[in-house]
This record gives sequence, structure tokens and C-alpha cells, in this order.
Amino acid sequence: MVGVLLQLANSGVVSRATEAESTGFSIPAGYMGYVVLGLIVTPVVILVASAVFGHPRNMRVPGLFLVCLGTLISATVVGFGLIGVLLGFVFPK
Amino acid sequence: MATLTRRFGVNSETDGLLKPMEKSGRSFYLLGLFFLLMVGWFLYAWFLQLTQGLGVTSMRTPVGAAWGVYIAQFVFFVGLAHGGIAVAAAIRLLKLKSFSPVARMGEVITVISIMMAGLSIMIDMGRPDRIFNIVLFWPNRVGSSPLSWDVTVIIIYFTLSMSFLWLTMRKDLSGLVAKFPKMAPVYRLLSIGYHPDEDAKVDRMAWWLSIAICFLIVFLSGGVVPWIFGLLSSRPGWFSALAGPYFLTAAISSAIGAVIVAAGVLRSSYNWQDHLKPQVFKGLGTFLAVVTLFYVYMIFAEQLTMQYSSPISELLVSEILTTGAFAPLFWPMLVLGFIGPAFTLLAQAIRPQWFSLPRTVFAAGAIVIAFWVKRFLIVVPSLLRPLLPFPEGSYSPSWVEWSIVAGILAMAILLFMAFIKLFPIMELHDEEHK
Repeated sequence: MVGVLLQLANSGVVSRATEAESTGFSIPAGYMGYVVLGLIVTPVVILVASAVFGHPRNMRVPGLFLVCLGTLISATVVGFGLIGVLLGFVFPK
Repeated sequence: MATLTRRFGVNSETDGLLKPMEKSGRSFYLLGLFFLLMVGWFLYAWFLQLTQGLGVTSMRTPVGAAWGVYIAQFVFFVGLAHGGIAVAAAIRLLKLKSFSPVARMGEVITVISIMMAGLSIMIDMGRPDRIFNIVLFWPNRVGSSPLSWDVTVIIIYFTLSMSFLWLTMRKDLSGLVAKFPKMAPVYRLLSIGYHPDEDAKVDRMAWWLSIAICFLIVFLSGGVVPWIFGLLSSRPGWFSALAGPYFLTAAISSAIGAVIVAAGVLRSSYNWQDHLKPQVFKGLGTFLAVVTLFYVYMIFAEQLTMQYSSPISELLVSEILTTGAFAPLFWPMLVLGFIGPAFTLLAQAIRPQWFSLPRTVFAAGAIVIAFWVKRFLIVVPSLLRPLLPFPEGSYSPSWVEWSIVAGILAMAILLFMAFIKLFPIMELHDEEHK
């Protein structure tokens, strides 16, 4: 009974407007992620660049920082692979 | 010691900060052993889950909750992770010198919490051995999957936070090489290429990076993570534009609470009364009270909307919380976990003579626990009320789930204990300036 009520309650949900109904610019669903990540990552890259190239000028510390950042990102990705391989031994075949 | 004296002008002030690294009492090791045993138990429980499948948990689908305490724990740790470094970043950004003793604590809580958040997700996966597929299929998924956005931003956040912590620790570590010969190779490696000339550059970099981290926090804790829930139109109780601000406020509150608890415990354990002064707790406590009361206001706004004239599915989720199966959790959480402690902290701010440090730590602890419960109440009740014509489900975590959740918490505390044993938890050069 509750399930039927819930289905009825959901009848108001409408689907996304089709291209013909759309009056203006819309982002295709498949590209939404690029827009979201672009909005997040671009300012972060600019701010990190400000930290690296801003005053006082010193390329040694920013260099070390970027190496640390790159190493950590690579280690995380490699870590994913390693964890996957190790857990593969635990799962029953 | 000579190096320390030269770099920091070591005196009884700074030397006291090295207490945990020099000698730890029997209680420290006993506590460590206890948490280690809990981690061992967690590994056993996880092994059972890996070999026997998610059937050993109480998570069920389509009737029941497909997500349970693991996801609640994930959201809890993500919140701690964001708020912890938000505190540290705000201190550096706004140059709040009197709060600087807790800056590194916030950074460490962040790094540990983000690792525990990742672990919680991995444990929730049916086949975590396929975790590398996230990387392999990233280009195909990132365009449309909020989960892919989540993984991407969390990796950026984790690596940036870790690099930030390392950058701000270099000066301290370079000065500790001579004092701790056993750890000298590690300190040398971590402070590689350190030269006192770099301090001005590091300060400026930390300032810029603080802005970057604050920006990431807003979009991660107030965006990408809540969108995992908030964008699901088929799920009553989750689909809400309020999800972002709701999660962000929770993140900041729970992390400030955790920082207060950590600082209170360390102050009492190592007699750091001179370093962690009452005004630090007063300031953080007042801010925590205001943010927590704002969160209570959002709970009220959410429940009012769900009760007033919303679709029946929303009303049913609200009723299950306020008068149904989850009411015994909801009301104590609201009254004893949020409203009571927040008003206690607020009263202390209004009447300074009422201030009590143990009470502040206790109130902060209650708020942290309440936020864990809140995450459970966000995740589970909505899943028990599907829109599809299935009967209403129920969920009560199994012993395996509780063991894993307790083990992850134990691991987080154990990592924090290991950090304070191996690295200075407060900035030594900051004490030098004082």
C-alpha cells in the first residue's frame, strides 16, 4: 500500500527538457563533470601557481613542493593498483 | 640540542612541546595496544566480509538499506577532514596567532580523516579488488558520474593537504635531527634541502595554499560529496538544494569539535597549560556553538519543509525520523548532542565566569558524537523508504559492521598517537616567536 502511494507521489517528477523544448543553452549531461571539475580545479591551479611563482621569488621550495605533490598523486594512483592486487589474493577464486 | 637551540632558541617553553616524542608513560603504550587490538579485530572482521561477501553485513537491496554505517562513517570522516584543515587554513590566512597551537592538530586530523574516509568507501565496496577500475575507467565516467568527481577532488584534496602539512613542518623537522638520532634519517629526508632563507617563502606559500584549500573545502564538503546524495531525485530525504550548505556546516562543526577534544586531551596529558591557553578553547567553543546552532536551524528548516506540504515520500522519511523507528536516535542527538552542548558553550561565551575547560571539551565531544549519529540518520532512513513498490525495509548493523566501524575509529586514533610520538604536534618555531 505504502509502495503504491509512493509511486503516486512521484508522478510529479518531470524529465529533462528535450532539445526542441529547450529555449536556451544547456550543458549536455555527459559533459557536466568536465564543467564541475573545471570550475573546481582551475581556481586551485591558479592559487597553487600564485603560491609557486609569487613573491618572495624562490624556485627551490616550490620545486620541492611540486615534486611532493606529484609524488603523492602518483603514489595514490599506484596505491589503488597495489591494494587491488593484494585484495585479489584474499577473494575466493 | 645545539641545533635546536640555534634554530628555535630552545628553552623550557619549546622543550615542553617535545615531551610526547621524548618519553611516553605506560598508559600511552597500553592505550596504543588497546587500539592496536581493535585494529586487529577490524582486520579479522574485514577478512570475513571479503571472503564471505557483503551478506555478513545487514545491508540489503532492494528492500532494506543498500548503504549503512560504512557510508555514514565515510561522510563523518570527510567532514572531519575538511573542517580540520579549514581551522588551520583560517588561522594562517587571517593570522590568528593565538590559535596557532591548534593549527597543526587540524592539519593532522585532516590527513588521517581523509585516509579513513577512503578506507570506509573501500570497505563498502562489494569487490574492492577492482578499485583500480576507478582509474582505468575515469575518462569514461568523469563526464557524468558524481562519484568520479568525488574521487578526483578527494585525491587532489588529500595530496594538497599532505603537501601543505609537510611544507609547514620542514623547519621544525630540520631542527630535530640532532635531538632524535633514531629518527634522524626520516627527519633529514622530510626536511631535504631545508635552508633558513626559505621561511619567508614557505609562509607566503602557506598563505596562498590556505586559500586554495578553503576553496576546495567549499566545493568538496559543500558540493561534490553532498551532491552524491542531493542530486538523487529518486531518493526522498536526500534530493535537496540544502544538501551542500548542510554538509559544509556539519563538516566545520564536527572538525572544530574534534580539534577541541584533541587539544583538551593533549593539554591534560602533557601539562601544556602554557601552550594551550584557555582563550583558545573559549574562542573555538564560541565559534562551535554558533555553527552548531546554525546547523540546528537547518535541521528545523529541512523537517518543516518535509512535514508541511511535501510529497508523501518526503513526509514518510521525516516521520520515520521524528516519530518512527529512528526517533530514539534523532531526539537525543538533537537535544543532548546539538542544542544542549551548543547552548552550554554559548552561555560560557556570554558569561565568561562560567567558563570551564573540561565542560568545553565534554560539550565538543558530545557534538562530535552527535554528528556521527546525524550522518547515520542522513544515510539510512531515506534508503528504507524506496519510491519503488517494495515494502518498507529495516536496518540494524551486524557485529561485523560495528567491528569494522570501531576498528577504523581505533586506527584513526592510533595514527594520531603515532604522529604525536614521532613528530611535533605543535609548531616549535611558533613558540620561538612568542
